Amino acid sequence: MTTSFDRRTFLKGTTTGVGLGLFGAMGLYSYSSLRESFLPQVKRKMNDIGVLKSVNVTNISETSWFENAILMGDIKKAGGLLVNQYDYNWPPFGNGKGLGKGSYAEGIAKIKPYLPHDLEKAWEVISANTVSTDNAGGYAALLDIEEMDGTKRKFLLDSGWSYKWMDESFKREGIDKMLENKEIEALIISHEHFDHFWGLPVTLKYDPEITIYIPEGFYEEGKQYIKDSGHKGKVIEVKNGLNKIIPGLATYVFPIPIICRVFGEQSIYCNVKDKGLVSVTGCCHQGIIQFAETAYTELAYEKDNFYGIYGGLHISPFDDWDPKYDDLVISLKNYDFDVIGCNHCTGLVCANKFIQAGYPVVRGTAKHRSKDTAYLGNGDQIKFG
Amino acid sequence: MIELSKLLPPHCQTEPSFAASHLPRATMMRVNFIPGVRQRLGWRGMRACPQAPMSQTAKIDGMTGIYGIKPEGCIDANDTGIATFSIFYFPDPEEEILNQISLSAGIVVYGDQYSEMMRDFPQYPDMASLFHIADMELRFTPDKQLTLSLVAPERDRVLAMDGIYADTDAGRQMLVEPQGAEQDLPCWSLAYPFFETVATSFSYVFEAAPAALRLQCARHPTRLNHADGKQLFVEEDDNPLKALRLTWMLEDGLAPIAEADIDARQWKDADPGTDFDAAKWNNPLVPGARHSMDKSTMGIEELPKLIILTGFLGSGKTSFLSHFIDYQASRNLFVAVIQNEIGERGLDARLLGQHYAVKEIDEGCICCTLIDNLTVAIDQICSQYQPDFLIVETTGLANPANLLSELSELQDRLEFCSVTCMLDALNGGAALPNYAILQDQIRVADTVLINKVDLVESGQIDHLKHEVRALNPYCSLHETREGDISPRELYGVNFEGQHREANMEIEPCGCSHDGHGEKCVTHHHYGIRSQLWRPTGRISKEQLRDFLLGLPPTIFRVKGLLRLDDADSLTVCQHVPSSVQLVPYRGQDDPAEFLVFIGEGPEEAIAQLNAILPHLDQKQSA
Repeated sequence: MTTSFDRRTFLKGTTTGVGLGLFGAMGLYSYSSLRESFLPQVKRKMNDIGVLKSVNVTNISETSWFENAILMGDIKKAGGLLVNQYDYNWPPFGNGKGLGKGSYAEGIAKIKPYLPHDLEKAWEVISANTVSTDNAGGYAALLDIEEMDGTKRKFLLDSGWSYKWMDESFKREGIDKMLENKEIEALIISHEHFDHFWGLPVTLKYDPEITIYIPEGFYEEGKQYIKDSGHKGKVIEVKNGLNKIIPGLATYVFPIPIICRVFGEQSIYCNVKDKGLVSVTGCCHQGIIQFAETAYTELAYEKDNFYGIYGGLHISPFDDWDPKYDDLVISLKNYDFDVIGCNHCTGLVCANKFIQAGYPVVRGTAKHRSKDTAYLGNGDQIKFG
Repeated sequence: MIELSKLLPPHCQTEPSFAASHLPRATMMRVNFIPGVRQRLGWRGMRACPQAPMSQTAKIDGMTGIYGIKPEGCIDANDTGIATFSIFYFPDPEEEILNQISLSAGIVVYGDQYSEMMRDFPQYPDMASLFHIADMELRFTPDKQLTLSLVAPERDRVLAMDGIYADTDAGRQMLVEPQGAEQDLPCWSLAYPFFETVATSFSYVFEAAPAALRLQCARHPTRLNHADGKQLFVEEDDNPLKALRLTWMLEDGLAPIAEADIDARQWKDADPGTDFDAAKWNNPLVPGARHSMDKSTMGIEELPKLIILTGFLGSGKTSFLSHFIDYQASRNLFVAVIQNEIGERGLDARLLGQHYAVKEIDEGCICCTLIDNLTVAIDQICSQYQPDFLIVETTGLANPANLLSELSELQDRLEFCSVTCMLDALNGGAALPNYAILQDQIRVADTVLINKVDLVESGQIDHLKHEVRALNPYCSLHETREGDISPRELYGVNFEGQHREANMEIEPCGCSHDGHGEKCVTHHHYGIRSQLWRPTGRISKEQLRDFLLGLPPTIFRVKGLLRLDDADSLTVCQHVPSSVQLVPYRGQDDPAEFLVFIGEGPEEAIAQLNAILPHLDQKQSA
């Protein structure tokens, strides 16, 4: 440098004091980048997904596992968060060889004869061969949609984990009968994780023909499990991006890396007439901020309003370069949701922070092994619209 | 063979451009799932840009600024997917580099919106372009090979042909002389550390070092700006545009194929010499473990970090803990809390031979009540739950000095990180003179949090700070509301903040701290004092260990930073009675060496230590 003074000192003074006007016509150039990008940018547009009258969400189970300490201990002892989930020897895929020494093939071979009709027998076999069997719970929710003409339609989001716990939960909420009566038209799987997907046979026990939507990014084991569980219906592998299902309801697949060798999460957008957009998520590994931003840039929705949220609000685990911004509570404020119903992986401390911050959090009843009223717990319902 | 399926789902193999555009982010995110691994590879934080989630900002070891990476697009060329990314460097306002970056960039750095805009830099392409330092390219040919390249000029130069002036109150000032460099940014050396961290992450997840390395050069123009807006370009021989290309083979037994240029630049091969022999991506991985992506294969066996949390009932320990647990849980870290109070209900359990009772298991944490032996309880909790943090919480009744000696048995199984004391701003001032136990808690603390500062006048807080400083001149002091403080802000990334000397922002009791005068005597009515010692020569590891283990139990703690033997690096020293922990200092700065002695009669201990040193001095000068 040929300048003889400290530029930092000068610039600090400029920006805080005199202002930038003084550079006026003094030859301060604007810059283009080193060179222009030579590959084309992809253009994006707003999408109309239609509208619906209302959506009612029933929390079948948000308790994915009962003791976090046991789950975290298993993950660590098996080798960490990058280990393939089918290798843990968690239920239902057990070969009796202990933690971290399982495989899909050996596990499924032991239970396949009982799927999906005899889950009690399957669970006996599973109990004998898996680790931390009783720690498994599961995540599942029912969406009751009312269309603009009054037609009622039902969708299931996820099928939980433990056959035993999920069967109890399905019976508690009457999901078993709805499936048997073919009232539920599709099962939407948010992602391949054990606690959302491995309870699949419980749904198939009551309706093996149900249509299943899975996000792009499922591994071979996951696709094979759908077949091995006795599914006889249609499987739709949803591509990354937007997928319209019925007027006012669409899913969106985010190509996101997730722990335990899982890739991609599918979340649900509902456009509620005169109210705005409702987001229903499994874990929301993409982060609620990204989920909301995607809606903002890609979707047209009622009143341009973020109306409600249901589900897990996963916090990004890496936001540690700037302690000032490590708080999801602060970020969520920008979206001004009218109704927040959170649970599952949101974190109880976080949910309580939302309440302290004055957010419109819908309280739960803390029934059926849900732990705190800050969450919409097992068996609780929330209506949007 | 490289298993890409660990990173991306199987279908990506058949979509080369999709795989190419997702691989860097997938690799960066997956290695960041494991704290020990991300530390070891050099990551110091990462986040997706909220409004452009395929773009990310990240911090890496050794650099004070923030990097940005943004995908620029991808194409399929025959059977190869090619994706390009822009790399940005957003310097810290205190960096020297501010003298070498354009004035426009400098103005942005000192603007109010800098950190906001940086977090979401793809939303501000004009701003971001000022900080663009390099490009990264990824080429993926399924079943064959994968090449990761860094493309950056050695320096990016912009000359102001007519100079740049500013009119200030002091008259017209020349900022850049005519034909002087307005920007002379060392792009390559700024971008390389980031690239090395990304490439090392690839080597780690692939369990393989690159099979081929290629260095290429092309010309990079210097821009000549004229006041009338004209811009000319000249090329200088001494300032090349460089491309470093690393190729990993996806199948065993294949030979790397040099790839064709996709841009119009005239690339020439250059000799990399030995420049990259020591690059981190070449490190062989530890083979043989069943699950390769695991701490033990990286040689990382992290011990649970121990924090002792003291403070009277009602001082805000519970709210501090809930913030702490939330913060760690969101980073996939697990916290075990042990309440060190023997309650009435605990007695039954004690009869049953249990050492602790689980009070609560929750998101990211287990909370236990101590029933009997603390060290046995800690041991059991650690083996059963494998926590990342162990917090021993004590209320007003416990003397932390006793606790410290009790914990000395666990020195090999825990990393002793901090004694943190919560003090209530509202009632602490009144309690402090009356409770010797509270004074002791402050005396042995590394960090004191003055909580509930929103409930009292600032004068009261200042007074309390003076009181704390009088008891413990060497602790770090923070003000909090409702116990809410980011653990990273409090302790630093690797707890390096706990091992440094505190800033002496407040003079204890108004006297100079190297000569505690008559006025201070009143503070010393109680036997425990702390005293600072600075080394005047080198001491060996064995000598230090022997010396510390020989100290009387009335010295509760010795802590600090020292260079031992002939080592260049600093060692963190933690001593509690009959236990010494010496671990490498992991901070990025180079703080002064010191030891703080806390206990009764620290002067005698220091005199003993000094008695060892002169001998060393003679040896060194000889």
